[in-house]
Amino acid sequence: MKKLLFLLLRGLKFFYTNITLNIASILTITTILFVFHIFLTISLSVNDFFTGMGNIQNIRLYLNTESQDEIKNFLNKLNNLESIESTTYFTQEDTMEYIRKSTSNISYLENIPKEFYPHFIEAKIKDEYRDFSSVKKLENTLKDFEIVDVASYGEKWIVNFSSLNYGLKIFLTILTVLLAGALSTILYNTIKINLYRYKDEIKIYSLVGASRTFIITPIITAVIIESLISYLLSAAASYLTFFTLNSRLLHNIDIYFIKLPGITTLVFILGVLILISVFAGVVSVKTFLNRMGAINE
Amino acid sequence: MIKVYNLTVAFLGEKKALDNISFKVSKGEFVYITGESGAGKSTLLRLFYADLLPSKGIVLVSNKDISNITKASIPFLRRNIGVVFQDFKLLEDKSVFENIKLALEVFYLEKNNMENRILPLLRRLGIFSRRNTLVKNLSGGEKQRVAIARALINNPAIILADEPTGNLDQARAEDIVDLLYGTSKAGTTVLIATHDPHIINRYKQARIIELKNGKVIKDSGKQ
Repeated sequence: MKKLLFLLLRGLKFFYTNITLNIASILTITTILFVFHIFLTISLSVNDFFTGMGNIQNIRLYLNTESQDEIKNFLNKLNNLESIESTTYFTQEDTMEYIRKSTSNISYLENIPKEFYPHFIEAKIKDEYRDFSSVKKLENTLKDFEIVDVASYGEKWIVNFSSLNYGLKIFLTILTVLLAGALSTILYNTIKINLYRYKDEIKIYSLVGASRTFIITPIITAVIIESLISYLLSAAASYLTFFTLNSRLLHNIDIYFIKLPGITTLVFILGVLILISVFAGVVSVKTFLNRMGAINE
Repeated sequence: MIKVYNLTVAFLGEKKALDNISFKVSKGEFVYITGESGAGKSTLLRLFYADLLPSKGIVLVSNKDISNITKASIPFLRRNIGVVFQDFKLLEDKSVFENIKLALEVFYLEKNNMENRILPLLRRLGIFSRRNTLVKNLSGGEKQRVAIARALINNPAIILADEPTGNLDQARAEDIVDLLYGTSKAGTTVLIATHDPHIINRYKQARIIELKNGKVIKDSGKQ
């Protein structure tokens, strides 16, 4: 414990004495992480939006009969289906009134008589059957009824949303990999430059019997401090940006699209960043030590 | 303390730096390794602190086989050896005290403990008053005393000095050799690589191992 504390304090000192170079590195890493946070927040918000849009709650059934007895009989059958929670029948008149209400500014709809509007049944699906495959299965069951002309739940939109969401996830994955590569390279090079400045000191430490742990641990500590500061700065900048955007603009015009990442996501990203930093640090120091050359050349 | 059997060191594409040499050095011995430039003196010393590994043969330092030493055990070997160089290998922008402290830090000693060990040694070596002076402001003789202090601070069993007087005038050079000789009288094995005849003649009773083209051509200690 005493040894570890000693090495951690040396790491802190190492970070502090190289502050000029480290600030340049911190600013670069902060910028990269800020860009990543922006894309992450937008991706999470889009994902949330698409998930909401793709959530199938109802299936709409257009009928090929106007016989009220047949419709009543069919409604009874529908209510007995396991995946259906409730049903509502909309007559042509109901449809006309609903459309006229929701589109009050389109005056020519007033001239269309009720006979031109469809009548349909809206069936509410139980929570546990709202996934895409269950809805598809329900659609096939309903189509087997002769009375059903068309069963509709916006399948095309859902497929499109899923594709868009999938594409966005691929984009975010590629971006994450590229940014992780960029971060590793920046950290690797910053450490290398620092190490070259301390080449003589490291050689002397090596001469007097310093172990690799003694040499490596403070440098890794300094890298972790650097990453931690960069992360906090970028997360704060990203949070402030979106918070301001939401509170000053979007919420005022009733847009609740932007969703900030939760604490679990932030901690997870920090964990990955620390892992990348340690990896880049260890590789950088080890390659440096292996190529450092003899003490007395 | 040091045993060398049929040792050969060859660098890629060059002639052998050391060619099939054998000798032993006992505890507390004071030994000069002599020979012209390029004879293999520095190469020999580098082997003893594992800065270089032998191509053939066996080198035992404090019973540790350098031929088969692992990277992880090199630091433990070096903690028992003090090394002094012609160019001092000190950190010019650090003080005398800080330079010596480096050798104690690897033992994770506390500051008070370090001071208790460094300050008496600085008094003994006559550089106590210079303890807070930056090394770049010291004379050559003082720098070499600092280097010797760093080598001695952990009470090593062996001191290796590679041309320690090469950058010093005659008087300072004799001072340094006297210091190292005194150390050997206290039980430390001292090996000095030098080609300076004044230094070699200062202690006529010292053992002399002379190298030429990587071979031992004279060993005054050989029975």
